[in-house]
Amino acid sequence: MIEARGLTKSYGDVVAVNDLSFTVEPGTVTGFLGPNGAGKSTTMRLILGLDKPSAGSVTVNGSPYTTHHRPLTEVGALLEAKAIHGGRSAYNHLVTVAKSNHIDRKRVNEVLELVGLTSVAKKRAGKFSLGMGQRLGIATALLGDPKVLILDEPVNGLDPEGILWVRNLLKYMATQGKTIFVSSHLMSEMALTADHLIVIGRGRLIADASTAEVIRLGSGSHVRVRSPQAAQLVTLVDAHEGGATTQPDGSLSITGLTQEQVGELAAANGVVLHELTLATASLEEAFMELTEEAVDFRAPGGSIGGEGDAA
Amino acid sequence: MIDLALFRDAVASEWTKLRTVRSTYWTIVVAILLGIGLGCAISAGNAHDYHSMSFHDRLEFDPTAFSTAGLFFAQLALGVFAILAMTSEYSTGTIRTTMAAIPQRGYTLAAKALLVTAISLVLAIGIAFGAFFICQQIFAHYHLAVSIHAPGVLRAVIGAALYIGGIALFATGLATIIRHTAGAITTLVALVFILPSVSQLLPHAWKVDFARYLPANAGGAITQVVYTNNDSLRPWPGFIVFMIWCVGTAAIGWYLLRTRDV
Repeated sequence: MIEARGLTKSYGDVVAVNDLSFTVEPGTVTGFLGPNGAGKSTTMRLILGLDKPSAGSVTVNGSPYTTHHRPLTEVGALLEAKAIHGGRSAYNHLVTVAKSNHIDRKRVNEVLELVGLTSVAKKRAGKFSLGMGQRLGIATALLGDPKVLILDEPVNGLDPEGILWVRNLLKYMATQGKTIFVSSHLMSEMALTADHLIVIGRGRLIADASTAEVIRLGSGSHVRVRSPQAAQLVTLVDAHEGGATTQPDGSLSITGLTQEQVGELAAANGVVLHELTLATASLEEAFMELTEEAVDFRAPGGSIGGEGDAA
Repeated sequence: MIDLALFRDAVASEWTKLRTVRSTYWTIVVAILLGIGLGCAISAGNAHDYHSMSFHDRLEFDPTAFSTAGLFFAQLALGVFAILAMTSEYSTGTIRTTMAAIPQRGYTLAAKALLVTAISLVLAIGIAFGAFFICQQIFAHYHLAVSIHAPGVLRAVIGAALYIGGIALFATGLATIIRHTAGAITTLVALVFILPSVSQLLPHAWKVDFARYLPANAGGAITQVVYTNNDSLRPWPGFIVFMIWCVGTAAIGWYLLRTRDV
């Protein structure tokens, strides 16, 4: 369990994390979402005691990280891929980490096997691809078989097979009662992996709810209708306290009424329908809407640009 | 309270880090080549020139100091060895893994400092005695050799090695403060190579008040058997001043490491 209370971090005048309070529960995968520069990486460094908060506090399993002794059996973290000396082999890198926490050397071979790096374990890591670096970072995080896993953008640079592997691994570990806190800029990936989402923008908390709820909080859902008698239908919807807007393709987007209500309304009034569908907003759209006000680095086109987290 | 078991784990981890990168081996090889090779070259050159030297220069002739003079250059290689042990963690990003693995950051610095200082010291003892005995063979050809049993000679040979051990600690402190390989090496070179040379250009009064307390000047006094000028400190008082530099720099690094964000 991770608990942040009023967590704040400023660098000079820049407030990277602003009065953030949230709880990451065990037994679920909690996604950590936010646009570039939102403060995701800073928050993760604060959790691990690498940066000191300007105000507020954060605890892992009840106490601040810096008070933990041999913490790797308690908390495993991946902060950046390829954080390894290029001249050292993956195997030796893991041995150095294992020794620092008195972890058995056998465990090194286990995690190498688990992440699929056994065949290249003795090679110098300087030649590793980003994907291999991510796998090594995940192996490092898993080394102590920790109860809490903190992963910053773990699927960055992985191929589809690797992404699927990480997704299944995280879900499996959650079923083992572990606390999984994972950041990603890939909203669609989070929709498939996370049960719960914490969304931040410009260091502030925007949403802290189940994944399904976050989607609802955003654009919400609407009913899409195509009808040759569109004008008549708009009048009917207005009369029943719904809202209808005409889309560029000529279809109607109706809110405030369910799919069934719209269908019955049309039938009762003899309105011909060519299409009646429920359009659920994607997490992507919900995210864009939620963080619209909180995007730091906006591309000229208005979309959220780039990948990774600058902070 | 000091957690000895935690310190042992930190030392085991840092030892593995040192022996699994190539830079450790090449800095050590360069240190041996410079220490013994340059010691021999400097000794041979001075021995050859002895007979054409002035009376004053003959008085200053110090076969012990010449034989270990190569260590003055080897200190750069071992300084780089000590610096890389710390700054490579910052350049590769492993510092965050290291600090997350042992949140009690002082233990990691203590383990690094202990290992690089001990390795440098052991190596320097080997180089100092090796260079001394090889170079005395060269001096013997010119009937200029000194015995290890002569007054002050053993102290000077061991002192040259102690100086190198101190430099390793000093370099570790600088690296922890600066956190950048090139910056730390530049600072070390400026403090132990450039500043002493610049200080030679200062007026006599300034030399007494300032230059003799510089790390290389204060620490270098212990490597000499023959004293001809009164500008430098005596061997052991000089060495104590030098140790204050080394321990003080490491202490500042320790304080900053514990308080700064990584």
